Amino acid sequence: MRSVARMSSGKAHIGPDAPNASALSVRGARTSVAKAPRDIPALSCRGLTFRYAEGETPVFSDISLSVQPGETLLVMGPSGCGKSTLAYCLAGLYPDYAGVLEGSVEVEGRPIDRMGPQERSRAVSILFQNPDNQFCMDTVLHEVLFALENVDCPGDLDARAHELLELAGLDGYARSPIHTLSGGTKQKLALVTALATGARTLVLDEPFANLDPLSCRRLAGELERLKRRGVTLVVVDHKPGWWLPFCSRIIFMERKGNLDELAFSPAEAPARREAFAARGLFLGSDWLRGVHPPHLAGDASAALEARDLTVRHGRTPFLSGLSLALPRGSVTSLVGECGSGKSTLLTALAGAARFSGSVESAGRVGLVFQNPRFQFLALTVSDEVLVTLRASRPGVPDEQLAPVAHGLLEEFGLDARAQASPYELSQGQQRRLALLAMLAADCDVLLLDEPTYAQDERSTRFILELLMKRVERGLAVLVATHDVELARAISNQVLLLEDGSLRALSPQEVDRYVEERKEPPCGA
Amino acid sequence: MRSINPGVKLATLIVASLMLSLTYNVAVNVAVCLACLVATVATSGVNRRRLALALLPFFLTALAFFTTGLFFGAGGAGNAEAVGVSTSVFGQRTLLATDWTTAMQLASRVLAYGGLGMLFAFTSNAFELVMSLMQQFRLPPKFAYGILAAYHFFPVVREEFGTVGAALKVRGVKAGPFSTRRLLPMLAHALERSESLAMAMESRGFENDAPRRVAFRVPLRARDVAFALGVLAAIAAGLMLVR
Repeated sequence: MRSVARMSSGKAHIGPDAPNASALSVRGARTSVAKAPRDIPALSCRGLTFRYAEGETPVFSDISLSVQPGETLLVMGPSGCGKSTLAYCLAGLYPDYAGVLEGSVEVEGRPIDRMGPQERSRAVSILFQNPDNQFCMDTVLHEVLFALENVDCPGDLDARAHELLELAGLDGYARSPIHTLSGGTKQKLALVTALATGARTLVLDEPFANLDPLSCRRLAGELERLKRRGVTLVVVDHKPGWWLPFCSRIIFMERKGNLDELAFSPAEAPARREAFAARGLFLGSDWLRGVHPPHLAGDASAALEARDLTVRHGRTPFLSGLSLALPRGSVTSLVGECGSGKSTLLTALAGAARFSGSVESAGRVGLVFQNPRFQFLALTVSDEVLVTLRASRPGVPDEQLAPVAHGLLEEFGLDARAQASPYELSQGQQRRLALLAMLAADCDVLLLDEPTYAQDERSTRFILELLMKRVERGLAVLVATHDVELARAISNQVLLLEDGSLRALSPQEVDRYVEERKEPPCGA
Repeated sequence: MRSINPGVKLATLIVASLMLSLTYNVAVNVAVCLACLVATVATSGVNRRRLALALLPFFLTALAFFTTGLFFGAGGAGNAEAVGVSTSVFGQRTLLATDWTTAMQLASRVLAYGGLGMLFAFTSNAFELVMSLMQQFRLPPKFAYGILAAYHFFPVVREEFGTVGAALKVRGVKAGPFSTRRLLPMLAHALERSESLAMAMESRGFENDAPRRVAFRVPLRARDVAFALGVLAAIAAGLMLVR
């Protein structure tokens, strides 16, 4: 309680025993508001209609929503339903940064569009999905001080910054350069900087999307503590797991109407299993019940074999002496914390990074990156597929390749968007296109980096089905993933990358590993 | 050297190089270069190997100028003497005299610039420089923090460059380090990043014209003024006294 009260900055300083966190004080010179009464919503919107451009079909229209002080609201919806857009509108970033907005957003009873960034950030701040791209200073301490400077925070800035870092358990990192931190630590730092502005309401846009399970658990714990201290949280996510234990209400994002009327309590979630399924949303890991590892012939030859693989960062070995074999027609999962080197290993196996040791493969090795946008080279979706086809079948004229490309796009459900730019696609579609752009080359081995990252259930299933069909035909797949339950369900073997070395986990070890990391259960 | 206000240091060294650019005094050029290098090396924490490496291009350029001046300066020098246009700055004749002096003048000037540049680059901190430009030279915070953000993204961009290269390689597309193939994804990312960074800064309360506290004061002290005046006076004196 004490720290939140002190977070609400202002020249009229609130004492250490301020009664509640919604107590408000802003620099006297700017406004006379001294206190937000309890019955005024922390954040609300009325008649909200958003278009990315004038004349376009709206992303959503006539949306109303109100969030009470101290509440934790979970807004759920499939990829591309406009929930992130709503988050940006509620945080006051849209329409300044994109689009056309009708209707009103109010923070503690005041219209958000009449507040400048400084005033606004003292009331509401946002945590982004991508832990990178949200810091502008070099070290952890400087970043927190930057936020404190911005809001013209009174008192000893250094002491305040250290106090905030200590609250999140980051005081040990004060002097660390931000780019050396893991994704989880970065999200914690983003949380600290958001609180440093004195914000009493936080909007969170899929904050767990890039994190490993243990980091998710720690961050969820941190957020739960904030909730208990009275901070209002508005969470946008398509996975309810980490939020169910402490959220107050769940709302399904709709394109129109009063969202409050559709709200239900987390205890009701299991009873609404069908509503979740109809929207293609995850609810627990039950959907994995029908998923099994591919049947593997005992004498399957290795499609890829690596021996004594060593990868260096500069001069120091980062991964050393790794050996692995991927049998034909099998799925192997690669698990490990953020920063353990999973992506580095995949890149080396695909022959796109320097390494010592030997990697032998029976044919082409494909690699799909965690961020599919790194892989797009063409201006249209169909060209994207043609780029790979041309490279893998040199000398074949385009007239013969075009029907092949079209057939593949149809299979992947992308034929309707063939002439669109890859960057215009939804996240799920981009992921499928990246996969297709690799598979078009007739790979024998496919390496996938977090293929289900930020995907809703429907999209995850679609990708899995496409993949498994090819595994049956003999494709060897290696999946690096944080989704430990998925890894257990689909894999013939699970490899753990830890401290620069690799080992295969026994079924018992896999079970233990999953138990330690899986999301809280979502009820029967 | 590190304790000198970086903004003042930068301004001083720019004025110094402008003074040198108007004149052709070999002795002063060499003296400036040596003085700068001695000052740089004497500063604690300077990596001497990197300093030597950074100086290499300057030495090569100086050498190139020297040989060019030595072998091809004849016509120009003779004509200049014959035409007899003579200007002077700080009492220095700015005309080319003989081949040997032409060579030395050009080469030593490059070295002097190199020395001044190294003195700044190796003894200054980018963060302090930007803070000082904001506090003493009225650089708007919008630009100051923008520059810092861009600067801090260098390691990320380098990493991204590698990732895009790897992505091209696995796709079977050949692309050299400067290929336009790399451009599209890198550009798309740069745009995305700049936007999300701007949004992040704003949601952390950053507002260009709003009153803000300052957590890092880069002081402007008497010794900074003394440094500026001292360096410039020494060069001016050198130019006037050494013929």
